[in-house]
Amino acid sequence: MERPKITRDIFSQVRDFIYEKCGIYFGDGKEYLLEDRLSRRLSARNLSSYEEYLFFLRYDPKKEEELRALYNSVTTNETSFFRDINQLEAFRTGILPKIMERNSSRRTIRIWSAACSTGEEPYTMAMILSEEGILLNGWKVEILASDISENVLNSAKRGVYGDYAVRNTPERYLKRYFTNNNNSYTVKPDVARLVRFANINLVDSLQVSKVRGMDVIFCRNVLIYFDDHGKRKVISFLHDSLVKGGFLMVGFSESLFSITRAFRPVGIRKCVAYQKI
Amino acid sequence: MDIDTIIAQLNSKDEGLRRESVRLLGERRDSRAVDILTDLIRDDDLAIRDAAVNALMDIGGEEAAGAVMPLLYDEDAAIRNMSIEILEGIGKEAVEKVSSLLNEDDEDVLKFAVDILGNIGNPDLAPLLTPLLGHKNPNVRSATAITLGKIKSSQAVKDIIPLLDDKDEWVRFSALEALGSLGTPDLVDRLLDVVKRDGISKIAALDALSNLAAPSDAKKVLSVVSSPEVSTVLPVETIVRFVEKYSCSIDESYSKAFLDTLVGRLSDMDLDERRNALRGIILLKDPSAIDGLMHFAVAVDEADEETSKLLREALVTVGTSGALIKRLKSNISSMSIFIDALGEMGDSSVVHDLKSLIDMVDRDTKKILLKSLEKIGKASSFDTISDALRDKDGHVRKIAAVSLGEIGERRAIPLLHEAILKEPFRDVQEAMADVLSDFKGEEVEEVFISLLGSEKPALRVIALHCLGRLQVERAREAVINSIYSDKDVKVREEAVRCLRNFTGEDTLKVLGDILNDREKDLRIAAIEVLDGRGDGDALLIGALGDSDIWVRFKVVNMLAERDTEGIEGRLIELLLGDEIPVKVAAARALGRVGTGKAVEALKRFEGHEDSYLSDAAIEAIKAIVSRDER
Repeated sequence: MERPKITRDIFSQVRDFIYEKCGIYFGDGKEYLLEDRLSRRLSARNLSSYEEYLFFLRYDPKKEEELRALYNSVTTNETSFFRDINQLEAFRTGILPKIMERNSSRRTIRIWSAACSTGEEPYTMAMILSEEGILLNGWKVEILASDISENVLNSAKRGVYGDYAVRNTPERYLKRYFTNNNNSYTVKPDVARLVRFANINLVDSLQVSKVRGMDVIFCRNVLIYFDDHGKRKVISFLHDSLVKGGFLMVGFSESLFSITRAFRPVGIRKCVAYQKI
Repeated sequence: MDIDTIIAQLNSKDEGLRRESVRLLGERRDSRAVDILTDLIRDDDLAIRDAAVNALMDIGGEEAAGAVMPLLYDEDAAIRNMSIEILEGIGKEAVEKVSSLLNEDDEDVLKFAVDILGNIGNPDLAPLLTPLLGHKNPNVRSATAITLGKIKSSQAVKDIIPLLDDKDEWVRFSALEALGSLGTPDLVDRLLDVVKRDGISKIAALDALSNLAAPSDAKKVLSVVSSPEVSTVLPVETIVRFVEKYSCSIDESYSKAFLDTLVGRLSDMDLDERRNALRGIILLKDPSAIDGLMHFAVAVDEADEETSKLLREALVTVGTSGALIKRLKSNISSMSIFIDALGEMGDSSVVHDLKSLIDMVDRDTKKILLKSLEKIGKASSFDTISDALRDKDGHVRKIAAVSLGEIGERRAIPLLHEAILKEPFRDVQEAMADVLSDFKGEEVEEVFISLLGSEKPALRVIALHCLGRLQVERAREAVINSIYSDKDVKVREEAVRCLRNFTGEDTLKVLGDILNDREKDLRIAAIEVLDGRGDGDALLIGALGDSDIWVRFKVVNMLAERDTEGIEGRLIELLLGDEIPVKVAAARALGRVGTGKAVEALKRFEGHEDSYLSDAAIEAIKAIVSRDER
């Protein structure tokens, strides 16, 4: 079924609007991508052009509601449990021991999954920590999971997943931490309760400033949405959220080279983590 | 916030506030902050240093460059590195200051200056740099050669050549790197001599050869490059360049030499190396690569999109469908690549084997399998694809529908009709309906007319949409009936849209009725249909008084684009009295159809706080004045 086309001029304006609101940047030549993401919003609001949509976002009484729907539309939510197993191993064997050594007196670990999408990543963290027996040894685990998209957060809170999401999950984790109901996998309550979900826009300094004292931040496969300016902004906010000596992990194929000098890259099992000095 | 306040915040105990203040100083681009920022490069807090570096680059200019230059002499390597980065970031504005260091006695600083100029990239500096090729310090000679290569100074070639005999190997390497980008084919023999030597220069010489050797040099270059002692050390990227350059001249012996290296590199940890290896294999088109490729396809775990695409192309280029099917049957993992390649090959003899896999694969592989069957096409694939219309996964059903459309056999029509009735997902229903309507004909029209009686509103909407698309005149009465009688607003709306395909007084009357409907979405649908008609002006003008802002907004835009006469007065009223989006639309419309009468009203909005409105008013005034002058 046909959909409206976006002109170059309107693309620039819509692109700038989205960038201003949430830092997500659509580069030149990505008109088709924006059309693809927003066409359903036009249908939902019965608008016939992207210019009308822009005006709706600026002037309509329901613009705040639409902004939330916009965030849901422009973010890609492809993820799975135990994604990038090498990085998770680096976390488990390299970073976690360092944190436990540093926090040995207060016995608390605080982790932030920034851009958690439908929850696979923070739940994975919770399972790894449970498997390490950390909770049994009297440690307190706090996992904050945030995303800009309310849709995915709502899905994450339900904690129910299909085959595809658990395709990389080792068998013992599947058995121990999920309830399987006809290939519908539900995260068990003792894991789910370790994770707290919040709606946070990573380019909003006010929102991010409320997150402090993190030992580890996972910000994987989300910096790709931002231009260099946006990346610097997000990384500087995340820097403030970390404790000294805390670690930031970005996507396996991502790098903070040319983005920041405020972290020290640390090699752990062929992965790179960034430590706040 | 003024700059003094920002500077005062630099003393805050809040690290976030300090860093934000540094960032703001950069944003203001005020050169008064340069000295403070330069000091902050030494701050204890790395984040502050980081922000200060960015801020100085943002401010830029000769003043910032001048303030940073003394840091090149600092004892702390981190400070020196940051100042290099800043100067490179400042770019052209720093060139004059940095060039002044080319007579510097401190050889480290001199080298930094040469590097910086190379990274900024100003070709006019070649005459200043060339004398440094003879400097006593080998680091300076190397840096100069590399910089001359970076700034593409071809006139420096004759001065770089003597460095091929420099006593320092790193200098020779740098000269080769530069000549690779600057040199011409007359250097080939010289480079071939270097290849015969050992050491790091060999690789640099090979790289340079791959760039500048001419087609006529094929024989002498290939005979050296394909020798075992050379081909095994060649970087993959370089092999690919040679293969690309000399593809016509590569016979079996050369091919084997390169292929062994390329296949070996498929197991390299580096992603780029693997991709380059695949590119090389594709270019060589040598069937003996098939075993190595298949081994790689099976071993690779979740290949990225580009690697998968290259692997598929390689399999199609060098493999046979028989070999791929044999491997598919023996190994259940990594099937999707093989299945995809088989689709590209288009060999119908494999259809039976592919059919046998359909229940063994996951959803994503099943989708690929259906697409491959579609590509192979025609009758032999039809049954399997149509069975997939009943798959438990919606994505698979969608692909199956689309594939049946591509194959184009009309016996798919009743199957799609049955499928659409049972389909729970809207997007899959729509895809099926799109495929059906592409078939066209009376049989298809009957399907959609029958769907008008469905209990499901979604199906009635789809039916109306497709009947409109197909312009089925005999459905007119049913469509009009839906507009007035259907209980579902979305169905009524689609029925209104359908009217764009029917002409005549009766449809105009229906549209007029809808403009008084209480549902805004129906009114919008009606005005959009009216916009496509030549006889719609009167009704559209009437809709300027609609209670909904977005209806008025659309109508104004439409009337403007139609250059409708006699509406200037009405537009001025809307400009002065309506809400901002309508004011903007009215201003633009007046730009098209307005006269001098509208200018006074428009002038009230020049400089309005809403930039859209202000711009629209200014543009409209210009357009009117320009028309009047003509």
